[in-house]
Amino acid sequence: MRDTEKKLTYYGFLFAVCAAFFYALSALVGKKITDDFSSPMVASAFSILFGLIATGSVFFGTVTKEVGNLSGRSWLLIGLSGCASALGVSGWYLALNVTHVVVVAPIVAVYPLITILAASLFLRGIEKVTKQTVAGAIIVVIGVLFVGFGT
Amino acid sequence: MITGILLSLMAALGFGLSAVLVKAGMSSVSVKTATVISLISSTVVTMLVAFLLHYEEILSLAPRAFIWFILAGLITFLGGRFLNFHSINLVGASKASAVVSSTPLFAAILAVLFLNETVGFILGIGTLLIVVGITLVVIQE
Repeated sequence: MRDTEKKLTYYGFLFAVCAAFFYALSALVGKKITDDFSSPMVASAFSILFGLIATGSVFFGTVTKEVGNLSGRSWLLIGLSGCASALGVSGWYLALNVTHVVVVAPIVAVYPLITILAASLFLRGIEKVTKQTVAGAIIVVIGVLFVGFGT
Repeated sequence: MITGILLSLMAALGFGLSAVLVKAGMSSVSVKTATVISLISSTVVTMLVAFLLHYEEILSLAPRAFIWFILAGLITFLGGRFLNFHSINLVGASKASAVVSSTPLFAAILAVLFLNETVGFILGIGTLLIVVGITLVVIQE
């Protein structure tokens, strides 16, 4: 049992690294789009729309099976999660319209610390936030700032 | 300047809270369904903002742009968000966010490989810090 848990945890981290890679790849595609076709906000809106159509088509069977039994609480929380990330994207692009990237990037880069703070406040019974996670996240944020200024 | 800082804070708050909200809501639902539901609300919000601020630009988009939008949508959401939610489900919002926030490192690696950008001293330090930070988050008893 312990081995299975460990395996799932490492899969979880592997998925997180792969997600980071996909987000980076999307930044590359995003650069091509904003250089040649549209503003970042329009690009985001249509990318999300086509992302919804793609995921909705691929996961159609599972979604139609589960959606009827979904509690109101789950609908609300997951829906709010989507709104929050959309506000994140919109806020990011709107901020870049009114100020410089050197102001925006360091502020936005601290979001994992906000996640940790919110998780320790609202997910008490669900997940444990350790000191090591906090220290690791702070070091990652500092590293991200260095990478941002280094490129 | 103040508006820019407030909007940046809104972005950080949005990205930061998104993982916690989905973790709290995902207890009785699969990652696949959670991804689709979150994308429905994301689409509504971003489309609203885009149409309010860039209505004329949207009407004059080149047809070729849509091929790139589809590609971006597949990579970012069928790839990125789905795996991110999987990770949040397995290791928790705080640990997953710390690792996923290393995206700029991968972007820098891709820029070096495909856009011929060079690796400087500061980029090297940043890379090292990110690797150390992620190692701290991952290796826990």
